[in-house]
Amino acid sequence: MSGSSGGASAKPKRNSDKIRILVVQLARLGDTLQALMSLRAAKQAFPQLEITMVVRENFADAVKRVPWVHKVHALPTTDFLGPILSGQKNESEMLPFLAQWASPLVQHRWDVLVNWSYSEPSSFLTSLVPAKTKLGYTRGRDLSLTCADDWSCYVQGVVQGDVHQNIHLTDIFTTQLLTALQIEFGEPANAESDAAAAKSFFALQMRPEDQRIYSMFFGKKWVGLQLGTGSAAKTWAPELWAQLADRILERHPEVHLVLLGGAGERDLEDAFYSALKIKDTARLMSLVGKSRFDLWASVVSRCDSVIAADTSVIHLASILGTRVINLSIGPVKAAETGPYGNGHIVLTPANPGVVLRPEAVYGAWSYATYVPLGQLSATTASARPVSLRHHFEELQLSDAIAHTMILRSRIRTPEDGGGVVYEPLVKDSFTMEDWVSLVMGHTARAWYCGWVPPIGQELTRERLAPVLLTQVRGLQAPTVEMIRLCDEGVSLARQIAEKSKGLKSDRIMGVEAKNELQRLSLRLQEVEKKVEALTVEHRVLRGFSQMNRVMLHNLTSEALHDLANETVLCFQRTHDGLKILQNWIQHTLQLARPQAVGSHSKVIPLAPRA
Amino acid sequence: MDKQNEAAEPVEIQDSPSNELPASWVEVMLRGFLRSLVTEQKPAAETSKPAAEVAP
Repeated sequence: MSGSSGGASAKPKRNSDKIRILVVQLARLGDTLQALMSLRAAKQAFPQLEITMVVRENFADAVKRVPWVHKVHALPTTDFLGPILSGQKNESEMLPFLAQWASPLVQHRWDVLVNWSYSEPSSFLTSLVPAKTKLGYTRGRDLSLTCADDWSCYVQGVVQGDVHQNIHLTDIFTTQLLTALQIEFGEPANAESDAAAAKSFFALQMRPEDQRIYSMFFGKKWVGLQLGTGSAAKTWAPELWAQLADRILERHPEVHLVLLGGAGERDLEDAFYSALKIKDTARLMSLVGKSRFDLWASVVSRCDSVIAADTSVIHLASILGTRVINLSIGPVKAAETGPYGNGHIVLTPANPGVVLRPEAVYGAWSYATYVPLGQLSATTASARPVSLRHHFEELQLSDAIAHTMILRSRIRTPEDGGGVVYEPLVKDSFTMEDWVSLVMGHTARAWYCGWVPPIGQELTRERLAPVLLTQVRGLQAPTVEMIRLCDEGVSLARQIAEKSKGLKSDRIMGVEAKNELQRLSLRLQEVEKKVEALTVEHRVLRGFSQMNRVMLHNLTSEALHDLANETVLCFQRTHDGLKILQNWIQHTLQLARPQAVGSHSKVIPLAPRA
Repeated sequence: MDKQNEAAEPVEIQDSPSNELPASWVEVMLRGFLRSLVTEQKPAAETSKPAAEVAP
């Protein structure tokens, strides 16, 4: 994705000048790896970037191995928090240590500070460290959490606001940073950034004992199985992993399996081995609890494919160009955090409570690995000669994909809107969540990128089920009402701007002017409340009301007149988004209209009732 | 990415009784940073976070 957004323009630096950028990523390893993917795109476009990253000490190894990262400032969380959590020291006693740690960051004058943690702690650090341009969460004058840029409002209002949307976080980060760099420093040196994954992403340092293990990964076809995740809700049961391993080992004598995982996953490993039927395990190796980052990354890069639930290995494999079969289980939105690149597979239960079957995972894995990932591109991602359904029929596993969604990733061309998209390999009907995802993603592109593909290009008639059409029809009236409210908000804010225009001070004014401004302000607050209230009954509109609230919270002006003008822009932006929603509603209903049958025309039926 | 949606609530920074000096802005930010790190860590410490997410 590319685009532009508002922002103050500084004196552009020359292309040869260094751009000193501080990236704060205090989330987990998977987020750190996703940030690295976005940074690589930025570094390719702006080679003069000098990147320093703040990460948690536990995850610093991954960043230290990236040759183009200038410096890593690791946060020793355990050292700072351990004494407080154990009661040995209080917060005030630990403050000097934290100040000492932060001192090098504060003393530096950064050109850009990017906070990609999107968390409470990181917002304080972002506020503390001076920089000409800031992106992400920071703190406002009243100490409340504040968004430094437009995309951060979207992250807060939509991504973290539990609203369905379909723009991957890696694409959000990349677009957010490239847009800011372009505004501040002019056109990139390299207009085309190469998003392709690379085995040489990290400069790994192997110990001799690791080298011995690593040498075993040459000349054989290895498949990695990462048993665990960060939470039980996202984890696939070890017994199911064992069934999958049995099936692969039994049917594919050329395949070797390697178990991956941290030391805390030894229980899962034990349960896996207990459930495994094939006891001849010459083709099965376990590195659970044995792999430092360097060995782990080396092994993943040598694997033909990696099968894992929502955990950091899917991002590591994406970076290294290893195909991922991602089991998207539990509270996960694969559209936002799934494996990035062409040709990765995501399996997810169609309904809560459905358990992914090993047969379904096996079928998807065997289908996907037919074409080596290196030979895939955006245009050949669908090069598999038979359909997935046919493949399952051949395996006599047709019933295994019932209640399972199987998606394949594809990087869209810029003409199609860019970014990664996950396309279903079995075309089921759209759910309301799918539809809302499309609308919100489209709206964000219109808001921040300035160009969008045509509305509804992803919609097809045969995937529109009656239940969806009923829900979409039900959205018409509340959407019209919310547009009306936004119009009212624009009008009231304009009146406030007009009335406050001639005031010498916001504090000193005549009684009449004061009463009038108070009246208008109260009416504006009522409009805000009505916008919120509308989404209680119509939750699909929540994305717009939450965006409106976040934008209004992030007004930056001090004078009443300027604040009112900013408020106009907020309501106008929400209004524009709702107009896009309205166009989607009309397009969807139009697409589903009964078709006249001519002698040569073909009727495409709607999707059957669920 | 950490889930949160705290739109407009100001964060209350309370000085400990032993800290008698008025807190500077830098100190307020540092204290907010430390306090929110502690808050974030507490549930994880109590539920013994799986090692998979701590180290590969």
